[in-house]
Amino acid sequence: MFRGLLGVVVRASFNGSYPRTAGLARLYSRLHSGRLSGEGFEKGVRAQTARLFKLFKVSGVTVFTDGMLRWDDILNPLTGFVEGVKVNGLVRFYDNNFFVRAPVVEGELRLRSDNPVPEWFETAFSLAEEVFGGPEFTLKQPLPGPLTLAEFSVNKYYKGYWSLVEGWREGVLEPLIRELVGRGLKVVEIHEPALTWPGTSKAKLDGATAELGKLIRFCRDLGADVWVLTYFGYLGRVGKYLSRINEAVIGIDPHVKGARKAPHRLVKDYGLKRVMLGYVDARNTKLEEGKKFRSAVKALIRAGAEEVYVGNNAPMDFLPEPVAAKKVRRLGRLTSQYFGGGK
Amino acid sequence: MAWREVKLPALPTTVIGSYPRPKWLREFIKGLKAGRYKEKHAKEAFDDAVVAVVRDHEVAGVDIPSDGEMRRDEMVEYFAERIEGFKFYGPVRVWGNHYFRKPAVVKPLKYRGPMTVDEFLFLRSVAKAEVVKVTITGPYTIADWSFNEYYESKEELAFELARIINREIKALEEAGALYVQVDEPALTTHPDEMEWAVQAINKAVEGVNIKVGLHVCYSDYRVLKPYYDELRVSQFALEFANRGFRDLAVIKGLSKELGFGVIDVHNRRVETPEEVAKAIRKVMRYVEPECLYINPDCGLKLLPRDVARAKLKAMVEGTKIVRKELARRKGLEEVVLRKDLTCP
Repeated sequence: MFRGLLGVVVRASFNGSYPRTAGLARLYSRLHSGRLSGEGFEKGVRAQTARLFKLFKVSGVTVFTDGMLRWDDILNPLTGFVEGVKVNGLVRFYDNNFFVRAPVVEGELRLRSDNPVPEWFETAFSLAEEVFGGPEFTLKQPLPGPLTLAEFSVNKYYKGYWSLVEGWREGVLEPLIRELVGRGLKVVEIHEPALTWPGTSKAKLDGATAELGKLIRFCRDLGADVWVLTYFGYLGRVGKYLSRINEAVIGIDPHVKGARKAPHRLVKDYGLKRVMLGYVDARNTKLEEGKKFRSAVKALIRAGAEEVYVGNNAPMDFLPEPVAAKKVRRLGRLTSQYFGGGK
Repeated sequence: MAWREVKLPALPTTVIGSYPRPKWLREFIKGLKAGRYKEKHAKEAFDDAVVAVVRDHEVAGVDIPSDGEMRRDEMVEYFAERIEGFKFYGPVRVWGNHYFRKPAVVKPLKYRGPMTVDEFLFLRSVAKAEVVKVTITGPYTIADWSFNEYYESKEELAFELARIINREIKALEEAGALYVQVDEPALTTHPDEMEWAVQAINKAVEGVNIKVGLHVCYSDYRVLKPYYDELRVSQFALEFANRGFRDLAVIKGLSKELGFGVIDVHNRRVETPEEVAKAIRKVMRYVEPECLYINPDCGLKLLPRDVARAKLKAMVEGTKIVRKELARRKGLEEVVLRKDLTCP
């Protein structure tokens, strides 16, 4: 860790999902067609996860997720392990050519005891320890936020929208986080693109941030830190409600079109102290420019951010894997070169 | 070849475009890529596959077949490979374990010459139907599903593509095509871009004198609705089965033909003819039967071939049930292929 400009820590972070390599895609294909056993798949996924962690290590990225290599998208397979849910048709994931299976909520939401996420976390943690040769890393667990879950749900059970949001938080996310923390999780990475997406009505933002605030307090009471990542939409949209969630590290997507304020202005105007700047564009193959990277981060620090992470703005599924690998290496190199927080 | 108003049965049935490749063709393509087969054998293999697909469509009773896009791995990739200025870095995931090779625009785009005319000519030579459908990915979707490393904006890129697509559609018209469908699944994904996206599509069909349909799917049709009249196409082919025929009211006030999606292409369960008939009766509350075509939600390529075949058969059988009712109630048995921008 390096204390750079104004004594602020700047660290490179990998957030959310990493694209499946050709090898991993083949593993899935063979598993689905019955040509590979569950054990064979598990062995392959572990090897792929270790490979990813090695990429993080050589790049100098020490805050990361497991790349969500076992997930199809931010909702699945988690929603498939929830009582009261039938996983149904494909729906577009915001404005991307990427689709997720939407949960149809037909009964009370309750996390099933056979959900594999805690075990996957434990496995990934052991692999990270092996690769890093010690505890010099932070492994985050990405999870969908209650608002995003509710926005993608087809609600056939709960009487009101907020009962549905609460159902996801209390019936699914909180028990899952409790179990994960019991297995050693220190940082929960909540993905809430719905919070900034223009399609989510402004009327919902008050209730949504209140719900998120409850989830953040729940995690902190358990001793876990929380990140709230928003992307594809302008964070300023949440504006006056940000104070409810700014105990968490707040993710800012600087590649949003039509943003009225630059990230550093958001930091200044809303008093954000803990920030993840998604400088690495997960939706374009063009590599990030070093000098612009440096000035964007410096501006955040000068605006008052006290804890700064730099990473990908959104899940990286939208990029070809070789480009994603280049971007991860560049993220580590630039962070190190300018702020000492990468390699 | 000049435009002509061909007669079709009421509620003409058609496909959206893609169809599962026969297993042997998939094996051949693998072998071709691995160098086990020679490029000179590819044309024969693809031609044979088109014959097989058209036969499937005909046996199911589809009125307007396509070639199943047998020669296309993917709808954007195919065109990006044939337009100068694109580069491929590798596949990206679309959903589950399904991928496409998302292209990147790295230099100015240039039209190299016809991309689909040979496909059309072969399809027409093997199909019994007088009208066949040729699909072209629209300028907005190609722009949206590409990485833009060269042009100042996505808008500039889309208009460059519109000029290229326009030349392609005119080449098809020149070759005798009667019905082209512009595929724009990305159209409504950025509501703030709709104004210029619609103009880009209009640019792509400018001066075209044949029937042009527009396919949009898995989208928020409320975003499309304000542009129904402005889009210079004669038909919207829209997906509705996947959403359980919810949101049908959004087509109220549509003054064009509707290609009504009655088959869910992401579900292997085969619909019954009665379910199809029920859906058609439901949509007729909003659209006159004279302005209604029946099709699956989207391309069928991701289904096993036997399932796709069974779904098309159910679609046609379900349509026939309603046709009988229309003949009895309204005396409506035939419609004509129309290129008009409005449907009464």
